[in-house]
Amino acid sequence: MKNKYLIIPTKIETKKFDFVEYLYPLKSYCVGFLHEYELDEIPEDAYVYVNRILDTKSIEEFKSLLPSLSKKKGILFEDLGVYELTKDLKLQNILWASHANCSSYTINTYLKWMDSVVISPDITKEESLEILKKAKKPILLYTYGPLPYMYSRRELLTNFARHFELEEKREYRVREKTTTKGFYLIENEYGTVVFDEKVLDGRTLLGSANVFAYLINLDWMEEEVNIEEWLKDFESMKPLPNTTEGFLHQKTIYRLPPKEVER
Amino acid sequence: MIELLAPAGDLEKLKFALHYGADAVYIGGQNFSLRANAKNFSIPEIKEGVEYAHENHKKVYVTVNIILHEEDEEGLISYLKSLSEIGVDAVIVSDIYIVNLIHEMNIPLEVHLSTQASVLNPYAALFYKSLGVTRIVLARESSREDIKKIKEATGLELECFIHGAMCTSISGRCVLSNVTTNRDANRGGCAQICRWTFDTDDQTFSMTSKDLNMIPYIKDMIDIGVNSFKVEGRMRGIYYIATVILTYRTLIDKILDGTITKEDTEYALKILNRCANRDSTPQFYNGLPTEKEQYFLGREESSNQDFLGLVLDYDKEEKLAKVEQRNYFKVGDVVEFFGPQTETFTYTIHTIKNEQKESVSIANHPGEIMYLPVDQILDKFDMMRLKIFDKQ
Repeated sequence: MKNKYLIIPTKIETKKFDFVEYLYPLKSYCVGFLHEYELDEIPEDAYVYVNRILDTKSIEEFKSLLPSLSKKKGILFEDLGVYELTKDLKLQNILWASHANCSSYTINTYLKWMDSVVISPDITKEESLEILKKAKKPILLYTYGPLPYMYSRRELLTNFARHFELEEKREYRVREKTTTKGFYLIENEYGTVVFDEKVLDGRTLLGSANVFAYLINLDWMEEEVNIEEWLKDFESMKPLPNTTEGFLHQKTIYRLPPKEVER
Repeated sequence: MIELLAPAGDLEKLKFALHYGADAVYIGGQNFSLRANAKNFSIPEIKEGVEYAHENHKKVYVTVNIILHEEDEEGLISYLKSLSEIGVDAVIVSDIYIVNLIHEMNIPLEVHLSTQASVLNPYAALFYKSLGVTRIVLARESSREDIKKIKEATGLELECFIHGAMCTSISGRCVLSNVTTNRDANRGGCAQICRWTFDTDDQTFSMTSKDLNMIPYIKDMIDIGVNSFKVEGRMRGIYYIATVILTYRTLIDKILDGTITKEDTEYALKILNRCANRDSTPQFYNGLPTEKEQYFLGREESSNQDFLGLVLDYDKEEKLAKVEQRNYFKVGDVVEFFGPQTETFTYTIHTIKNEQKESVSIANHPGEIMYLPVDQILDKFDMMRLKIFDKQ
């Protein structure tokens, strides 16, 4: 393969490749995943993922995992409290702050402490390339997988089902009425994540310089994936079903034309 | 230190918020701040606001809380230096670059960490403390236990939201607006998609949160170490700000001097519930919100037209109030006057005179100047509202 990948697989993956490392969502410390793993299930040469914003009780419980955690290769996290606890352990610290890493200024600041960071997927291809050019350490690009738009601490699906006395579900698909934009929601007891109904395909960024790894999330796939075969197709730009390029070609604005501003 | 902190979308609101009892206000500049589509403050307006506040021994905090994109950094350093020169009392910051920049460049600005940074545990708070942050605006998802433990472990000043709208998302963890309307939520363009409705196979889906209201827990929050009690709403009008701030001011003062009663709390709840256009609850303070803390089937919001008039002047000799009309009122209406120095009292409108001092029976033009004979002395900027209920 031409590129290096960090992959969230559909199961504990035993096949090793020079160009692939694995990342596993840690049970009780993640939201938005269909598969999560106990710490002792996760291989020592793999990375551990903690993407919850942790309340005080949860982070105190997390502290008890530190001795085992120190034997893993690295950790990716959203909550800076996790960094504060793991910074002295011999493992790689990588910040995956979903929507906060949108400039080289921000990213280079985080790189004072972190071994690497994941660029937020909320910016354009040009912005990503500019950040890669300026970043002081190699960084990660989220290149394929569910595109997260919102993380709520609330159990939105359970609340919805209970209000209308419907069967309770942990996954759901909804469509916004005006724009007909579709979303996919996953909930667990720690909150709900809203994703795009389509899967991010960011292959337009493959082959860039200063990349620590391309991040790929296959957790949502229903069938087992042969990683090597899948990556061959991926790199050869074989069309993938139900994908979106997200914000890569969609520059957002934040000021409305004067006539549209509500006062 | 116990501080009541009010939102202010412009200079008029800043003055009303401070006049009605806020110890400090938070405002947004025209750049680097969320609520990009509020009027917001130019540098000269910030200076005027700070001077006004300081003359009244109060404080002004300026939000510099966008998440930067590559193009947004230009002008940031000179903007921060301007804020420092003006003498703002603190900046409220979210992006780590800005937090660290102020720290490393020794820009004389106190830094408060925005709720957009989602601090919910002591270790995250300690990370920011090491960068010179003196106050944390906690995530709105903080429970009583989180607040208590963070205070004990860090000794930092803690600021908590006590009233107003809630994001459905953990603040800062949402780009639904970006994808649905192309408006960047984390740079001030949020279109509040969490208040929209969605089609499903079963039923119309909604994820809208009811508002926050911490009236029953203010004393407990003081006891566990909260320093600053923050009201949401930089886009809100002066009647909302005046009513909410005066209600919390009265409550906090009574808690601090030990005269608070159950009736005071119940009355405060009634006033705030009437003033708001959505239901409100304590949300995360004592546990995870359930379906009862959300709205389903759309917004279910009601427009409030209780604000009838603003007192512009009072002639003590003629006992005549000069009132600027804000909503329809007529002879025979039973209303209330209230203000920071005016104990709320009931008044029945027997006579209305227009600007030419001619008797009229109705006031139905917004902004129209009217005169009302009122025996009780009123102050400039007192307000007249529809009377709905008595304090029991």
